[in-house]
Amino acid sequence: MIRRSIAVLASLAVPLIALALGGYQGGLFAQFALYGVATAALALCWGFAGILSLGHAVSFGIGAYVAAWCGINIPEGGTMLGILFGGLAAGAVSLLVGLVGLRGRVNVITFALLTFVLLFGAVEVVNQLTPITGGFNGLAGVPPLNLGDLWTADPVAQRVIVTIAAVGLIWLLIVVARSPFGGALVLAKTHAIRAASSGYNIPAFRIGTFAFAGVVTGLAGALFSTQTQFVAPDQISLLLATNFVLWAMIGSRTSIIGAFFTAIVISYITNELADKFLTLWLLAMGIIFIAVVVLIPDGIAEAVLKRLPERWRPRRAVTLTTTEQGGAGGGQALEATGITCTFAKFTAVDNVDFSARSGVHCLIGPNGAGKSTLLNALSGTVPPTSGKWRVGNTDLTKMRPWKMARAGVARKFQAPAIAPELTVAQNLAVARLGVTVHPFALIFSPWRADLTSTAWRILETGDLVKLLDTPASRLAHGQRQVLELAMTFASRPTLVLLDEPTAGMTAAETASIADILRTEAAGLDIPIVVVEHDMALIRSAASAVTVLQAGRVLATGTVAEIENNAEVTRAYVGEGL
Amino acid sequence: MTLLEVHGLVAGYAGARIVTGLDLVIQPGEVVALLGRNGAGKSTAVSAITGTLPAMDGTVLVAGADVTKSQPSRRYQLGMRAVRQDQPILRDLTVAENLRMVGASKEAAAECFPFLADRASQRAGTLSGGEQKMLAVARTAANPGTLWILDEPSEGLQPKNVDRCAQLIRGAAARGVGVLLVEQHLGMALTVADRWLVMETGAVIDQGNVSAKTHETVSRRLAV
Amino acid sequence: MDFAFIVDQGLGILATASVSALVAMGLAMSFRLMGIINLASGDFMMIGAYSVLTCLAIGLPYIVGVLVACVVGFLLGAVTERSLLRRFVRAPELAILGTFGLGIVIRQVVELIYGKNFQFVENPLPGSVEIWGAEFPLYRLVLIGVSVVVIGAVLLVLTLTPVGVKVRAVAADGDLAETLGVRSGGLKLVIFAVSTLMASLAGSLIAPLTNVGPGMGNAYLFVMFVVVIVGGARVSMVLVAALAIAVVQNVTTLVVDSLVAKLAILAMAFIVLAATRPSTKGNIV
Repeated sequence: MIRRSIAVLASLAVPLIALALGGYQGGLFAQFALYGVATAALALCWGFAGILSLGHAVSFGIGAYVAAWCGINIPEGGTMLGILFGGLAAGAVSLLVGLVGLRGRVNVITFALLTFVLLFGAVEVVNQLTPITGGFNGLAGVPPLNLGDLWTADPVAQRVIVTIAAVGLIWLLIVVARSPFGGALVLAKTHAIRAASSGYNIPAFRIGTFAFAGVVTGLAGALFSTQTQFVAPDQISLLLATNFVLWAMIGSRTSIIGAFFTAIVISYITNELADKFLTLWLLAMGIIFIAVVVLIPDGIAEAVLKRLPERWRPRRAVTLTTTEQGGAGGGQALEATGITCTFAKFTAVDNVDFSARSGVHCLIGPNGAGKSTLLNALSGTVPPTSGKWRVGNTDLTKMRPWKMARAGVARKFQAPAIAPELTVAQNLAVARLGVTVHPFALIFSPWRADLTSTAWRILETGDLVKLLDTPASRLAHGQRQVLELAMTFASRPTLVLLDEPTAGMTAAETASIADILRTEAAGLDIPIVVVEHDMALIRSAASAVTVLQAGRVLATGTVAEIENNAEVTRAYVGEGL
Repeated sequence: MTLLEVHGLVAGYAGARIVTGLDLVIQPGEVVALLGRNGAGKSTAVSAITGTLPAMDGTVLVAGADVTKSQPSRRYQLGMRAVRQDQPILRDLTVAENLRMVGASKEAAAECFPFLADRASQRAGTLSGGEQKMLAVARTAANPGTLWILDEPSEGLQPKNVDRCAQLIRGAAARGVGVLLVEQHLGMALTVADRWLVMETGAVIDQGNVSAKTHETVSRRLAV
Repeated sequence: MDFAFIVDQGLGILATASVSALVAMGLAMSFRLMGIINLASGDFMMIGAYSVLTCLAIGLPYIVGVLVACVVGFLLGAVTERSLLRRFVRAPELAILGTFGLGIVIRQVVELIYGKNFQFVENPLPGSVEIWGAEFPLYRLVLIGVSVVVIGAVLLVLTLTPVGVKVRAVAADGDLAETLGVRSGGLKLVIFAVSTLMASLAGSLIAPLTNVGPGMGNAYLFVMFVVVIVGGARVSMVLVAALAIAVVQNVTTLVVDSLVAKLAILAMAFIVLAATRPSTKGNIV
């Protein structure tokens, strides 16, 4: 309640300040608020999605120029159209950049470089395309906000409307950043494959976020040109792009609000100092830049939050519920034929046929036999060279991991893959929501997730129920394993693939996990495929065992059959584990 | 002189402590097998001992020198030779360059595993997993230093080559090299080791000298 | 189009390519070894040009200026690596932002000392030689020659010498190279210093052909970075990219104008990145 009131008061304060300050100062404030919006949009990309743009001024400049041009050249309603087109044009350019640079595996540095060269290109265009952009002189005489002949904003109305719009855009950014959508971006920042295996099409999410930030920044730029009634190459310059990055970094790229207010405050200081000592100011800016990188790379907001007492810190309340889903929808078997995985000249999995009915099906074999490779192939994270597989009537061949997750395939990785920046409950909610909620709905969906009873049993075993609101970064290794296992069972799966789920646990913990796997496989009536070394787990949980050796199936059968199989014994001569 | 002394070692990733307090001493000529289930912290311990992962707490002494905060290359200078579990060789370099880097001669390497003689100019990344392991072991044997840290050297090897690998380890130990051997292959480990340690959830839970009964004791400890 | 015209254009392309190849090759090496791009590269070029300018001003010959540029570039790079970049081994994006700030500082310091105005370096070799009936401006030949020699020397060191093997080892797998006794910290220091040396050298070589001013580096950054985007982090691909982009730039500038040339290069970067995803892993050469 208190938090909400503070948020509302802060939102009201921004236009009120613009109103209270005199004409010139109020106008400046409105301009700086728009810089703040652009900075906050950059923070969304950088701090949440993990993509750094060194050319963020391109979006701002496009918005400003498009709006200015339309405002001047389209007599009726040009200003409003211009603002709309400005946002859309900036979004379209960002979308294009995202489509080129954010598909597949992303190298942050290469992408930063791409946005940087785009900035250089844009600067050239603005400076040289004089007939349209006015060249070095820019475009003067941009009309303020107006509805044609009906209404034209006076300076006071202008700056109040602009600041209200700025606050609105900030709210929009906050909604995205704090939604489960933002949570998925944060998970993908540390574990892209985990996020994919939770049902998120991560490249699309990143491209979408970048384009959305482009639209918001473009709108900020467009409003800026109506506020200053003038547009110049400054709005698309290297200096502005540098400032956006600097402000976002100082304010905290992981805090939309921190980035917004820092941009405003520093803009003020810059404005006071820059006119008087330009060269020295730029020099100081360079030094500040280096100092911030070295001393407070996470930014002020993050540093302040860390020092606040626990109860003052903003919490993301997550509601986790459970409702027994009735009816065993499972009973479908996994059928894989001719799975082959070849890397360069090396064949790790060689024409393997594999089927698993409901129950725990263990994959064993010496290290290097191809167990993890087979699991990666079946879960689509490293697609096989050839082969087909399906669960029941659902063909999984060539399906991307995120689609597979939405088709009911759940996957756990060997090293625990969780988002340390999110709380335990947020991790669970992100894992749960990705499977069923539409990507766009995620933005507005509350942090509320209905976990399966299996997930709750696992959490209880690991004693995690009382740690739900703890940041996952504070969990020990074993607890992270339990958390990721619970995430795997967060929604009702039709097939579960586990890579050494008990690695790093004690014998007692392993025994209880084995118990859960056995009873849940029966209860849910689904196949659970487990790569495992631990014979104790295998004996207590497995209904079937497949032995791999050198990429081929050596034998398949019940535990007893495998233990009495002469060929298997020979392969394991002297091998205890 | 003690070749390796580890006291109260704590190590892990991103704040999670995976090794929670490891003590370990290796004398010249001694082969110590470090055993444990997957995820017990063996490989993390090896990374902290070789220096590729900074220790969160505790000390590591190589040949009497405190190297807890030193780079791996400093440990190499003190005689440490490591073979890590994943991708133990430089894939983008040729077999010959992999050997030349550590001043190992092709002839000495081929003596360990003869197939290496014909593969000198092949890019090492195109070797199979087992062949890469053999190259790494040969690289170590051809320029042996005084202390070997081997993380699953027998992984992916044919039985015949596992024996050869065991032979090389024993041979080095006979010349005074100390060996820390992490192995899944219990038979191989207990053939070459003098002492054994079993890790669970990041710490040593049991240890002893290798005897006729060890296989049984250890198997029970590992819950196999 | 007569022969002399083609020769002239060809030399122009080669001169452009050799300057950007010098800088981009250094960029690619530090990208591979340290995972970062030096955003202050243009400013290191500018330092090279000012080194020449300063040496000429106190009466030293041009060649001494070039050598001074190399030394200054190397030392500044070494200091940067040691004091700034080393802190960010695990956070490359912060490291590149650090170089960004450094670039601003270098520019402003030079502006404080030398002022904002353009200055000019006289062409030390104004003559030309005649081959097959075409006039070759002597200085451009020397510029191309020096670049080819330096690039060739770096390539030879990388492929044939023990140091080269170590560099490639660190580029392939820094942790493993360390474990095998390579002092990667020292090697990274040297490689970064060599990369800034190459930028400074490039700057000193183009000084007689251009306006020398504090902001001159930015004009070259664009092409340099596109070369790295297109070429990835492989030295050989970077050289090919430098040549290809020089061809596109010079031909388009000649046929249309410099704005379209820039846009063509930008489009090239986008198309190559979209179509091929240049490798930032694999063999460095």
